[in-house]
Amino acid sequence: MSPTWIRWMLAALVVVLLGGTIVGVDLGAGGGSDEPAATTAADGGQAVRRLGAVADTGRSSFQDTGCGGCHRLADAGTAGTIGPDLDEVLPGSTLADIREDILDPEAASTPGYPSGRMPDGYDRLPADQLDALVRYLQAATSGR
Amino acid sequence: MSRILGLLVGPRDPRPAALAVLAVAAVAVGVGAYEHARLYHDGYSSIRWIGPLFLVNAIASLVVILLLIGRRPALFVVGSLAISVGSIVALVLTRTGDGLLGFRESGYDAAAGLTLGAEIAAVLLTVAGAVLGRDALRTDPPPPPVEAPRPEVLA
Repeated sequence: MSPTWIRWMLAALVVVLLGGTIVGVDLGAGGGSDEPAATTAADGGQAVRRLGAVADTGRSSFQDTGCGGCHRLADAGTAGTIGPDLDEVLPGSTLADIREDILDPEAASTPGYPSGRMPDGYDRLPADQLDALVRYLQAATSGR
Repeated sequence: MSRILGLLVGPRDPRPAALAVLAVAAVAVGVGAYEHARLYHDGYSSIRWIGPLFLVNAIASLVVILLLIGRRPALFVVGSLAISVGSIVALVLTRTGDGLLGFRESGYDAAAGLTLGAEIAAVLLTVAGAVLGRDALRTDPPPPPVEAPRPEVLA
C-alpha cells in the first residue's frame, strides 16, 4: 500500500471521528445503555457547576428577587406553587425564551396558570444579574 | 515574505523520529478538539462567545491535523501551537478574575483536566517535534519531480 493511500485513509479516519463529533454525531451511542433518564438530573447539576460563579450569581438573583416564593426549582431548593414549576416548563427553552418569560411573562402563558400574576420590574435588574439568572435557570433545568 | 510562505506551505517530509513526535502531538490536539466539540454539544453552545469559540477550536484542530497528514508539518506546528496555547490561556482565564468574555468557571472537573492535559501535551510534543525536524522545516521543499517525456513525443 503506497504512502499516499495511507495518508488518504488516515485523513478519512480523522474526518469521520473528529468531524462526526463536531457535527454532533454521538459515536458512542448504540454500544450500551438504554437509560439516559438516569443521568438527566445529574446533567443539570453538571451544567450548573460548569457555569461556576455565573451560577452563583444567578441563584442569588433567583433567591433575592423572590422567584422561589412562586416557582418550584429543585436546584435552588424552592417549592412555590403559585407559578409554573420551572423544572417542568423550562427544559428545552433557549436563553432568549427564558429571558422573554422573565421580562415579558404575558408573551407566552403556561396552561393552568392565569396571566398577569407574574410581578414586573425584572427589567430593572442589572444586566449582568439578569444574564446570570437566565443562564442559571437554563442550566439548572437542562437535564430534567 | 514569499520564502516564508513557501517554507510554511510547501510539502516536506521531516525525519521519521520528528514525524512520529508530531503525530503524537496531533493525537493530543485531536483529544483537545474532541473535548471541545463534545462540550459544545453538551450545553456550551448556548454560552455567548464561548460556545462558538469551542466549535472554532474543534474545526481548526481538525484542519491542522489534516495539514500534518497532507505533508505540511510547518503549518501544523504553527497551527497546533496557536490552538493549544490559546486553549490553555483561555482555560486559565475562565478560572481567574472576571473570567473570559464574561464567562467564568470554577475548579477543574474531569473534562477540563483532560482538555488542559491534552493541550499541554500538544504544546510540548509540537515543540519537540519541531526541534527534531528543524532541518526539514527550515529548508526549501524539494522541487517537484520532473515528468519524463511522453513516449509519443519521442516517437
